[in-house]
Amino acid sequence: MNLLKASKAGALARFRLMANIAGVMSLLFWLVYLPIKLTATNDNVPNAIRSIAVVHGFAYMVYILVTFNYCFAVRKPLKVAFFYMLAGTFPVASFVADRRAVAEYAALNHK
Amino acid sequence: MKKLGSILIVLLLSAGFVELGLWQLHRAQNVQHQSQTPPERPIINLESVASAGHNLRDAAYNRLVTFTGHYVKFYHAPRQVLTANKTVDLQVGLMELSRNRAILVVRGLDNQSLTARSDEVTVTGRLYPHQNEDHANGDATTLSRLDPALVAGVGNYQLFDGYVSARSEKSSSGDLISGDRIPSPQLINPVGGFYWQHIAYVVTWWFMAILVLFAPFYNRSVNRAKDRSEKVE
Repeated sequence: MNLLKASKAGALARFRLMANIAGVMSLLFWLVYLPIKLTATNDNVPNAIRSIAVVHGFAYMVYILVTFNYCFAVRKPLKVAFFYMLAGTFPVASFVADRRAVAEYAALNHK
Repeated sequence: MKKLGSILIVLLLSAGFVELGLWQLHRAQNVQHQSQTPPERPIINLESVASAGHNLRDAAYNRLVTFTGHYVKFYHAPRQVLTANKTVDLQVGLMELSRNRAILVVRGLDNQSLTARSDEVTVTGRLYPHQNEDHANGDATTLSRLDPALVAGVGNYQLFDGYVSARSEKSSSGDLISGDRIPSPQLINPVGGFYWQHIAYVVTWWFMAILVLFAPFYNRSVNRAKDRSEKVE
């Protein structure tokens, strides 16, 4: 029983970490990278700004993996798991998903 | 029938994600291809790749071109980036070609090594797109950037887009005009970093394809795991 709880807690911790990283990268991607990329002439985007897109791409990939792991660990239905995964693509949605996961996990442990 | 429909939807969705992954893979390959220096092409006449009064086509960038005309005005172009750590002041000439057309030519370093001249000169050099960012303050004899739009008010010329960085100049008698030229390497599209962005998306799309294939079994697996954990408790 403790082992199951421990694996759920680990999955939640991994999910929370990636939800926050993916959220920050998503904010940077939408609010910094995209405006600069779309207004740049001759694709003249500084390397520091380009790296936002690269890190965002990899962060989302890891986010998908840990979200799947978390949703399976806490036995979430497929529809809910789908929305959790989708949350990584919108700037603030992954922060909301993080808060929701924490609340749901706390409720689950009180049962 | 309903089951068959679900299987079909899952397969279609999965195939769609695989296709999206392949699309990103091709984009990554294109980016990698673009970031490599292409082989040098032969020198051609300027008019074969560019026309006065029209935007420069992508195919014209980096071409080594030759043309003949005479300089009508000279400018300074300060603080031009030569290498990552080195900026230099350049001498730029507005060269009039036949039929009232003109083009900006970067002659070389602005250090008195190149004398102003108005006789007929044949230039060979590399064609670059116009600059968009100012490097200095401009005035009647100073160009803030290498952009023919800044000399549009001079004379009544039809201007070629972009500019040519001269590798050599020859007088009408065929003598080489000496001076401190600047290197004119091919411009490489600085998109190397995007390669890994596309690769990340490839992995993400293909992982999504696997997830979709697993979707019909997901709820069943979750329920089975639920039962198992209840039994353990």
